Amino acid sequence: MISGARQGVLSGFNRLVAAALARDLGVFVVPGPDIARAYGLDIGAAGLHLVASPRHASVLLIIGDITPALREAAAVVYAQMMRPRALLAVGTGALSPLPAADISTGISQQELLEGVHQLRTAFTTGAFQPEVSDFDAPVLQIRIEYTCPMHPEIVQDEPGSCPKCGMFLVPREVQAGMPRTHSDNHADRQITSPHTHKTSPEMDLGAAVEYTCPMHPEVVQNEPGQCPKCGMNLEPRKEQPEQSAHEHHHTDHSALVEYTCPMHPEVVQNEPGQCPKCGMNLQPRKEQPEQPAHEHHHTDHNDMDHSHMNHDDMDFMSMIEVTKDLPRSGDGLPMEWIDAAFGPFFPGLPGGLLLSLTLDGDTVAGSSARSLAKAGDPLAHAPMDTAQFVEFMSGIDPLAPVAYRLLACRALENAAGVELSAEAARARIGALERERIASHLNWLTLFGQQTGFDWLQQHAAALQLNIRQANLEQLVALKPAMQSLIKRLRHTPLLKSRTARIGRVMHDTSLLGPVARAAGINSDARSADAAYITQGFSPVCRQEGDAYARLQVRLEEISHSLALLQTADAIELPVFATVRGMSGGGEAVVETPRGQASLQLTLKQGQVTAIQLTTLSTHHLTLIPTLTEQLELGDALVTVGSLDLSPWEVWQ
Amino acid sequence: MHTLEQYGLLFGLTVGIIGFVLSLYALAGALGKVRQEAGKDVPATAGRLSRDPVWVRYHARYYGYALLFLAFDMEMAYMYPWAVVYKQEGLVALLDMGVFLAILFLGLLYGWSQGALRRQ
Amino acid sequence: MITLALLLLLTFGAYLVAVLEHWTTYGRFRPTAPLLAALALLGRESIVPRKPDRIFFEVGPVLLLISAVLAATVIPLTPNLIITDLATGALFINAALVYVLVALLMAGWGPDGAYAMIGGWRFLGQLIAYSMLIVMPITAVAMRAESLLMSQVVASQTHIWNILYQPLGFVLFFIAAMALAFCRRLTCRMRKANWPAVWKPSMAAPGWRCSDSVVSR
Repeated sequence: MISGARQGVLSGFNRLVAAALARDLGVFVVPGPDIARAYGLDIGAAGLHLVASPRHASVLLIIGDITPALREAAAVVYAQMMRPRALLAVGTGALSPLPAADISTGISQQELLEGVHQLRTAFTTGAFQPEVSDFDAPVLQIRIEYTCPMHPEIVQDEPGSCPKCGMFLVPREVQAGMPRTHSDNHADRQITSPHTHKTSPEMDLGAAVEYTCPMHPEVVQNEPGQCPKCGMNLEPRKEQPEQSAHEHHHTDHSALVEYTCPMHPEVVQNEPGQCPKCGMNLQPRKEQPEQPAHEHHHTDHNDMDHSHMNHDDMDFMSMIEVTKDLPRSGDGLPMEWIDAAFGPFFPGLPGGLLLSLTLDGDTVAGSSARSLAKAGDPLAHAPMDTAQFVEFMSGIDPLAPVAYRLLACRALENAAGVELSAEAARARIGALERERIASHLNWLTLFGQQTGFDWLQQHAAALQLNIRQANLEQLVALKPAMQSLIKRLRHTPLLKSRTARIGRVMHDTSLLGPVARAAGINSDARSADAAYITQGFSPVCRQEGDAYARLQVRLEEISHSLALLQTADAIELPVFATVRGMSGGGEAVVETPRGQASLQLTLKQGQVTAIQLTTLSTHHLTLIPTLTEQLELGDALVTVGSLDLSPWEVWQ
Repeated sequence: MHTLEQYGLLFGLTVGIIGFVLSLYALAGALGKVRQEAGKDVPATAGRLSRDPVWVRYHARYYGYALLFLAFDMEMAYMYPWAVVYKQEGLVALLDMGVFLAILFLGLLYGWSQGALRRQ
Repeated sequence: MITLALLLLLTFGAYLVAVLEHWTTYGRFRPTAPLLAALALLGRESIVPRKPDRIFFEVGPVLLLISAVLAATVIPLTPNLIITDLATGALFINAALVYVLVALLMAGWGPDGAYAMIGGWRFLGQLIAYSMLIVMPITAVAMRAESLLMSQVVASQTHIWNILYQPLGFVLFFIAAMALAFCRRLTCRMRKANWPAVWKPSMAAPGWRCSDSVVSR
């Protein structure tokens, strides 16, 4: 039985369809296929095929323990999958707000295969059920709030009129539970008022000041207040008739006044009121051809010269005026912007990274990124002994477990003052370099998905899964395949023109890892490591700092790591031989596949009590807004991908 | 009337395809009911609900290119009958159309030099 | 008899293209993949996004299929077999191509979702780029045949095939047709995220396009 069965009867033709469904299982992976590969799970070999969108998926595959934020996003994805749908949990803990997993297995390829087999049977027998219950979660609830199209900061919970301009408020859907005033950031997204009432604080108020309503100039008072007709704040007006606080026509009431709506010029009345179409308060329109200035010129009005401000009876809103305050794109056109979230499960980006883009057409006008994969302070923990600590550290980042394990072991050895033998050090290096190759291949798979090279995606994924836990002989056997992949990639036409010159980083010494090395910053923690120096290690460096340079740096690092592995005798995971009753402090630095990570820890009586971990992804996340400014969407996504962020090593 | 029959046939084909698609829909609908659940009908964006309306003025950056394409497409419409009689009219036809093409081509070159073909 | 054989051959060809596409995308050769996928598509629910532009949303995919099939009707399969030998056959193919643009834009606009909108406009940009490349060689072929009748176009090639007589036209047309059929992968990446399983015509259209480009020449 599956929890997301389709409501129907399993008979006749439906049986055939259910059997077809069981064999054509599309799977959507949470947090992402890169995590699946990092754990060594081969989705394709298990008989499932990866899909990019929940709409085409039948199975939601959840791997590893995920944070509540990711679980909510997974609940959203689950709700958007078409029935019949099933939930396959691999190595997870609690799953709420998702329903209970249909099949639950541990993290290993064998168990995944069995799980898929069980899932197939469940689909064949349970895809259609007469009685099903709906899936609901708090994150899916909506709430309707009412906002003014011209003043997005006005938000109310029930319909009414805008206090500023009087327009009918329009309903808008928001996610329940989200704070109300997020529209302040997007005040420029909607069409702003064609007559934005900027008050004029710098006016010289030497003379006796009268206060008038910008929309109803006949309302005149001697002290500030509200206009009795529309509720707007009264603005000061000098005695001279030339002065006007904004571009509304400073009416001379001796003439006949008609009232018209700024947005619907065909609506004309003889007395003030509301526009029947949009609800706005009607504004007076003068008969004389001589009109005073528009509001953004008001500070020039001290010596009034109407002639050059004559706009010829412009009582309709030209597009230039209507769109005056909209942000303009590079070519001068003001168009409306779209907010779109690319993540946390976007194909091609690291799983767990929430990239929110504000798009002007398909150019990025603004972006913000954060990681949903870590919650709270992940380093806060009860004191643990050294063995537990090493396991804890290696579980921090599923994309680079060996590097963090090595970091923990080195820090502990530094605290204990233990020196390793050269062979042991070389064996550890073997493990680290093997992981570096696997991590870069994993990244290449994501890169292939972004740039649309299916062959790269498949070959890199296959190689990564083979290399992940290969011993030395297998590595040697895989070397030609890797080299041919690198060569083929280097000779791919148009790849260079596609990725060069985008995402160029500024020369910033706080950059680390391949991102830094591609920008000419020669920083590599391995240069200071004795075991590497004896092998003649020198970091790979390039100057351009763009996405293509980062790709080249990673490809060259793969070749270098292969060369380093050839001279290694063995590959062993780092282990730390426990020393009883240690106390003191220790620190270590490791070049993870993404860059340098450093750890400082304090021990007391053999228990690790305090740790301080510095990783680079937190800083690299902050680069994203500047790097993606005004980039085309595809380029922006490639840029974000080329930074090779790991959302698992981002501390909030 | 031969042409009318042909168009009738095409129309019948269109209706037939629509009927085929509708019958596929009916078949899919007969297999089971559709549950309307919270969040299911919101467009999917990889983990977040996309609620903001996107029916806005989209800034299609290729509008310069699209306008030029439109001009040339209109030119294509004129070229079709010309192409049919080209062989029989000979050099005169070439010169006639050549003038037209040259004018448009100059427009294209101008646009190219001014960056109309670039991503705006 | 020949008609039936040809129809079967075309269907088999389209199926083969679908299998090959599955192979390149997923790396596995499964001959039954398209059949299973079709049945599975039937079995899945299909929903309408909330607040859709109902007309566009429903019409988009159907219009795509219709224009594909209608364009195929003017193509002569044998000297005697052409479904409709329209007097303006060559122009008709051009017209059908334009409806493909319209259909895809409709499909992008309909669901009122970010990915669909962006994907639709981007795809339209690609199509506009390639449509001139498709339209011009058709005109060139019509010039040689002195007629827009597709049967005449074929007849005019009795002595030398157009591939040899107008090689540049063939190369350009082929590139453009292949690009149109398969550029979905790059630009549609995002659009896929937004269509519920109403997307049945998608399997028919690319298969047809390949056969069309080859037969036309």
